[in-house]
Amino acid sequence: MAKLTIGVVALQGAFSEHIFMLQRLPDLVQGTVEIRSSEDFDRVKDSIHGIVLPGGESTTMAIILEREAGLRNGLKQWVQDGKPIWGTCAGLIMLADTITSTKKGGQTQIGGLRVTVQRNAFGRQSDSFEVPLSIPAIESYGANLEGSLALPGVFIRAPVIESVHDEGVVVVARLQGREDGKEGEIVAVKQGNVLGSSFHPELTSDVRFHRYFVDICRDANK
Amino acid sequence: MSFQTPANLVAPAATANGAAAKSTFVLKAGLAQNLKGGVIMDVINAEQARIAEEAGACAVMALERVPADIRKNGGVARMSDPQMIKEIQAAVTIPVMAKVRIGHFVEAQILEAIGVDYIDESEVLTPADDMHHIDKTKFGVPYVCGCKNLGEALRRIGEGASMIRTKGEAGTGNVVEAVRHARTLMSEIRHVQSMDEQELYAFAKEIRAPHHLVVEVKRLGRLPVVNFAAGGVATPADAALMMQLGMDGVFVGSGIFKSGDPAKRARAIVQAVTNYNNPKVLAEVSENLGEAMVGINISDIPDSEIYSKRGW
Repeated sequence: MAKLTIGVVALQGAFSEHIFMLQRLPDLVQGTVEIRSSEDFDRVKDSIHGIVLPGGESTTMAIILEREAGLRNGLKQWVQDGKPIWGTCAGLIMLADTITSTKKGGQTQIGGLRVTVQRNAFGRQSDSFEVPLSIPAIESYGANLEGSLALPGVFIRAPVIESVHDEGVVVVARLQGREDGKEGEIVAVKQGNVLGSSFHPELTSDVRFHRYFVDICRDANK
Repeated sequence: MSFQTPANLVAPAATANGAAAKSTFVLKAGLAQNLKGGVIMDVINAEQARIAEEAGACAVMALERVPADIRKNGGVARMSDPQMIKEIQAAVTIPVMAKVRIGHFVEAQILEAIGVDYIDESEVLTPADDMHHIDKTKFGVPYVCGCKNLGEALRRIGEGASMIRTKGEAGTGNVVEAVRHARTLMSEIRHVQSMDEQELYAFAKEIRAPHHLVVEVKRLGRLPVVNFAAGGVATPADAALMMQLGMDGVFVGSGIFKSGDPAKRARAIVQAVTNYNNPKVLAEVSENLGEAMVGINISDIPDSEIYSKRGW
């Protein structure tokens, strides 16, 4: 299998951090391309093996996408075709079929991921937090540089996945359950080759979640 | 310069026993990283905040008067009424920032208490302390601070700022000072990269910056936190200019709501920041924006009213 090229949507937000992390997987990833416009997308869509939708402000990205109909429709088609795509934080919000706590008047989205996502589910910046996440799907890659099997979960004004709409959507990660026995919130899901996470692995030194996505891309492009 | 350097390589601060950690540097700097490639707009009420959000602002800066009016009205400029900030917080879903006077840590405590997402310790307001900036490490809320050069940027980061912006000259609609500060910063960063390790000690002393941060700048080839342009940006072309000079995003103060068609201009500046390297898009979004804010020549401003000279 040839090495992969990953497209990173670079409208706004933490896209260069994703590029940096993907470049840390040189055995798997040949290169990355930034996608800012409909023309960019048309040029690269047949040569890329997966797309990352980074974190940032979902309202900002939605407004830029309004102007770029070609990119918006191209991304919708990409998801419908079941090709590999990973949305982090704002990217997860863009992918979700249903969003709650949107700005007044709602916001345009890409959709296709059959979940309901609540924006800013934990509150303002003062409620942002870091917590180790136990994610079985990445444990086969071994421990991270700090020697921990858990992924450092960085949640910044983060959304959560309130509900999944059918059994085609698999829960990849949850926050730890509460003391009263309630299950923790869903913070990562996978629907075929579509991956969504409400946390930011690109803001850590742990590259394993990126490797997990790149492996999804590799299997899908076999 | 892109944000490709290992600035995100910080040790996870989460504690081993599985408890959540709050207000860590990763979270403070990380919010700024998520604002990159975006436009932060000054707004003075909930209605303007909604216009900014609809136009694609990645955050708003809540203040009672935009810098152009502070300049016009004179007097002492202070932190805004918390009630007004709370109304703006209720009106929008994007992050809300607010300004405190340089050194006024009690204004900062008040803003932290009402839950603003970022504090700007700003030279646009009248300084409250002529010697000291706020010890920002004592706060859970993250801070952005202005700078004219590398030394000033690293002093602020040393005091706990997790985001930097150029000072420029706010309220003038004149981008020349922001350009000067951005160019100075970038040039000094390149200079640091050319130095050997011994030279860094003397250079840190010369620019009055913490030595470990100068070392970090050499390693990264950029500031160790996100760096926005601010102070005089009035058009989409100004915004794209600052991005091409290597800034990570743009603050627009008086430039939007002191112009003829704020909603349209705001949207155009947002598009310009995403497409800063695409002159075709820049031409499209620059069309028919109506009247820009009236600009002021820096040489016409009395020395005592040059905001960028405030801060130490």
